[in-house]
Amino acid sequence: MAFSRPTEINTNTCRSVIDNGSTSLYLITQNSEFKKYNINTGVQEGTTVSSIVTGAAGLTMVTNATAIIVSSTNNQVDYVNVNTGDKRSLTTNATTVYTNQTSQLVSSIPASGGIGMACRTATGGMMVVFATPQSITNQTITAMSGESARCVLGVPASSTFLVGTSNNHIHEVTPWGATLRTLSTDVTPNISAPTIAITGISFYDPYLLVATNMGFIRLYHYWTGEELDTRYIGKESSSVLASTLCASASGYTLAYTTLQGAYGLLQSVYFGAGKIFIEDEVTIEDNSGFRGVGRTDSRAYTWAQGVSFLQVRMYDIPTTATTTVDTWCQDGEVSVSARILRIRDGGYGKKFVDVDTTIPNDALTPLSAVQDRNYIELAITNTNKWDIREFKA
Amino acid sequence: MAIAYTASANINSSAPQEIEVDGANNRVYIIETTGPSFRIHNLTTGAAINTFFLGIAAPRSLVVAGASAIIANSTNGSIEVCDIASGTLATFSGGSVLSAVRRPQRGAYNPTTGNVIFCPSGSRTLSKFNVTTSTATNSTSVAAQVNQVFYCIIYIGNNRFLIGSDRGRLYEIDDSFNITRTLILPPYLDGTVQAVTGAGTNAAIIGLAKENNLLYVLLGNGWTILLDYSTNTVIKIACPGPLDTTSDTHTVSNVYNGTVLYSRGTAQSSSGAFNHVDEVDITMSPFTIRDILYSGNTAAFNTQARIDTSSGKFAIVQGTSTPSLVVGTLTSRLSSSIEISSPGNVDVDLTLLHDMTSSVNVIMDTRTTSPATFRIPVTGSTIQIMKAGDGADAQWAVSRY
Repeated sequence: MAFSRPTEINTNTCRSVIDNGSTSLYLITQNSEFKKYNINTGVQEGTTVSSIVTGAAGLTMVTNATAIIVSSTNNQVDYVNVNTGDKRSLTTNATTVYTNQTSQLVSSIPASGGIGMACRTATGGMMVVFATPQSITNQTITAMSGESARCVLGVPASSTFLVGTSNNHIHEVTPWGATLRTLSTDVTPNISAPTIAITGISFYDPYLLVATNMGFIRLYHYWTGEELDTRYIGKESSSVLASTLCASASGYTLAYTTLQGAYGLLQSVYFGAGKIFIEDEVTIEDNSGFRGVGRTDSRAYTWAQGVSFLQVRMYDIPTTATTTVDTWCQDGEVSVSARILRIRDGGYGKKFVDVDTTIPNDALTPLSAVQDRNYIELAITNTNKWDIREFKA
Repeated sequence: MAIAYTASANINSSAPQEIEVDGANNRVYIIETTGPSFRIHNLTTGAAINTFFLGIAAPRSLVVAGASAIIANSTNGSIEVCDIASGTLATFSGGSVLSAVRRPQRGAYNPTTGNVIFCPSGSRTLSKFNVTTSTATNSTSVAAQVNQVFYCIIYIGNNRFLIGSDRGRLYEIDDSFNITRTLILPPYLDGTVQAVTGAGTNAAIIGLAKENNLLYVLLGNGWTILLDYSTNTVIKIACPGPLDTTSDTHTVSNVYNGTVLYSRGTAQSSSGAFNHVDEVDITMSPFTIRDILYSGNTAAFNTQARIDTSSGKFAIVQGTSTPSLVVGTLTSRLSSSIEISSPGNVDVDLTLLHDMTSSVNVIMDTRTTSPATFRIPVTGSTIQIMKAGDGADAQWAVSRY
């Protein structure tokens, strides 16, 4: 089971949550507070930072010590030192962000000097927030003319951002306004063409997974643009109930969505093998307001606004850390080269090929496997002989 | 892309109830409570050909049996038979009243015996009309769980029908209403734990599609399930649909070469988003969406699709939407069928891999009986892995074709 040991944080209506990659969870609330919690216990740590920007809507870490908070109502960005609680507000060039809060209203690339990018309300660009020196640029992006951002994800490897828009585009942009690449989700065949909004992005090179307000997740080969797979994950929604995703961890992401009027649905999605694979899912009590999702390597967390309970819930999730498991192939007593198909076995309907490679004939060969997962390994020789085994990594 | 949209038409009806296609005659048949009437349209162009006004009020279920349309209603127990060529109508008493909700698959036809079985509104009630003898009979005490109301029915061959009940029971019956098998769908899919014995109210079963061992089930709580019917193994679950157990639910067409056309029903209109009908793979890479037809931008209810299994031509009807009738053609994924069998015909864990040299993917992964038939792609090769038993005693067999 991918989701276990649920722990809850009940606080004032939550607006956004982010983790520090370790054991801390930071959240902002509707009554303008910034708080820190232990992600494993749900216990608050440190003091509450009060009087953060009104209408706080999005939160990200621009450095290891600095969080930025953007607002859907005020032209202001707050910087908060998560260790000391010190707060500084900037208004120069600041702008409001999209009102329907999700996990990806603002994102950052801390390693590249501390740059954040937020989904500003106005069409035609993004708000860029710098950590050093602390400053803001209201950046025009030509490719976004006439369309506004709905979600954004930083890509550390390229120091760029992926921006999902109201008009069916995913743009890869730089903080300086250049557009490097644009993908669109397919809207044909149609009788009348829909306007599809991108509501969530996850990226694991070369695979791009996007959620849309049509209730689908769609998987692309990012560099060729080829559509590889499409699945349902939730209901259609052009408003606050749209599906959200979080950043990838080794090809895993989480999807959080709303079913028709009754339940929320949290799913663990693996797309690192070029197909969409729903590893596990859990239905949770309905929360009719804005929502988001995130993860560390061992904990998943969701949040929702608009209810008096379940502001934040956290679950244990299986690690995505990989290990190696040796393999070899013998024909009689002779070691032989063989094609190895390592199939991850999550139960009926939940198997997929994780490794497809050829090993040499003279040695143990370490092949990657995800810790604690069950595998079926099939070896096929050049003479079409086969052997098979099961193991747990 | 797999869906080719051809044409659409506005049939000016606010109350379509059920749709059927007739590939041999290139026709679409629709019953509607407006009129009430039986409409005939061209399956290629969507153009109207004829309209016959029915003698019964409130037609709710349409079954095409040879040259006749068999229609049941929600006003009385009469069955109306329409000769499709001439429009000649004949009404027969002796059936049972159907519920007034809009829901497809409430009648099914066994061409071997000539029996059409309908799902009336009464508990544990089925009605039967024989097209050869033009006689209608009822049973109000089908040996199902007490208080069960049957919501949908399909014919699965070998003189067997599958019936879904309002409380999560799936019954296989013969022409004489004898229950030959019962399944209870998993109770946890709506996020709560409910009783699975007694008269527990598991989610209603409101739509069915079946090919070989694979059974695609729509539940009234919005979930869809793919089962290996031979072993009751749940292969996939997904939750695309609306929460609605009464009417205007998500619907599924018949199966065409391993895929179905699926509609989400009122979930689409309530959110203000676009309507769409989706081609869903249920046999090779189950639940992959092969294509999406965006079918309009106004509220739609009662969206239903049917496919002519010879030509791939399909028709979709959408209540209150514009256009209300859509026709097109499905280009199916090329495939062939294989029969797997295990030594001693014991149940096995079966994994089928589609090997394209540059990539290899699991296309089927289930527990199944032996022998069994599955669909495989014609491109590349297929690696078949069978496992019987567990642990150290497991026996494996691998083959490639």
